[in-house]
Amino acid sequence: MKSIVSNTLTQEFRNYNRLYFLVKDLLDFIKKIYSRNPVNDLKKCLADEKARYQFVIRAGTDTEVLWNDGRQSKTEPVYKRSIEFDQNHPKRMKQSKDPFEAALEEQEESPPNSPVGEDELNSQTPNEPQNQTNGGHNLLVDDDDYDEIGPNVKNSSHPSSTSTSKLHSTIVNANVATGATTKNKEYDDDEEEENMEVELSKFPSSADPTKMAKMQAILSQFTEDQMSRYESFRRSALQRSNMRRLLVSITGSQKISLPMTIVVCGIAKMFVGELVEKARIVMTERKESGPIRPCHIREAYRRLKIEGKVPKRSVQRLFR
Amino acid sequence: MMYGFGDDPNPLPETVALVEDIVVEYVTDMAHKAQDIGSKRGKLSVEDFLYLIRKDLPKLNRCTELLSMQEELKQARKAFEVDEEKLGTLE
Repeated sequence: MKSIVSNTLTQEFRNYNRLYFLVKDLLDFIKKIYSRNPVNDLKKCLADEKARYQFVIRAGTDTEVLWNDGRQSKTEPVYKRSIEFDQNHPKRMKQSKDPFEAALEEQEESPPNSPVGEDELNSQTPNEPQNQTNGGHNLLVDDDDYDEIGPNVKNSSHPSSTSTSKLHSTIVNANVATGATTKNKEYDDDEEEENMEVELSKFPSSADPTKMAKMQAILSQFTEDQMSRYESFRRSALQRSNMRRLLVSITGSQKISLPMTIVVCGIAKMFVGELVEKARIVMTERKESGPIRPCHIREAYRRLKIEGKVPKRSVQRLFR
Repeated sequence: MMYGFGDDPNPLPETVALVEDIVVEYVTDMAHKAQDIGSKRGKLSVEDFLYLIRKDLPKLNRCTELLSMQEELKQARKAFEVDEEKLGTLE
């Protein structure tokens, strides 16, 4: 998968990075489990007679690991599910000390590991007692995950605790991701533009560990302001339904495929990015500050036209 | 979206309206051009849009990435559905 070569000013938002990898991990993991045939294998993996799987949900400072029973239609794994509480589940982490801090700290240092995460999830249940003891040792978790990437070699730890710590990280990632998701739904409501939608499926793809490491290094340095801006950058998207309607009205043909709407939404979003960035450049040249004004946008648009980034109309617009 | 790309947290409404206008015009022009290209082949396809942005590397890479990600998610979802069925029959 090609990495993004984008000249936008803002950097990647780590929660979305995490969420993407978590989703990818979960899907990969599930795919991997189900690709094995024997029932016993499955049962052993899932360690549950009904073959349910676990997921994590967080409300406030309480963290719970729950079993999930059944799934609706083709929705995204972390997001919409039929939830079933299992009060007797041994892995209930409500007693964990300040999980949010732990999650935050861990997130800053440890990137998720796509290939490794699956195996750790497999060995989840047997490793429970160790996981609980590891609950307080977040630095250990960070070190292990960071070790995978390479740059900072810290303490290497016991293999079984390594696995649980990675599991911990994946689970905690889910926590923060879920938390971030709900937080952002409210954030998006304040947006002015009509065509906004929280698009969770558009993530950066790079599975390249060096790039991941670089990304994590950059993301950890972000201020609150930068982080929120980055989050807005990653989460915002044009609505596919509206785009589809627009394309149908333009082309006159009803057959607009889904990939086409996705591509056009992506192109349009990047075009907005180019406009806004160029407008900011114009503003600095004129030594102005504050919100971008229409004159800046028009100047930016004019410059883009000169650069050839805007398709020219073959037929002139006579009436405007 | 504009905040994400560098504008104020509260962009001016006239700026937003202008940007929306420009983007709609951009998409319209692109779609017309793509249709022109596509008409030679018969029908409109994704390839036409990709051809149009071939010179613009960031956009091209982003689009190929979006498409491959969509494929991946589709595969994963399909695999999940198939296995759920299998699981259902096992029960």
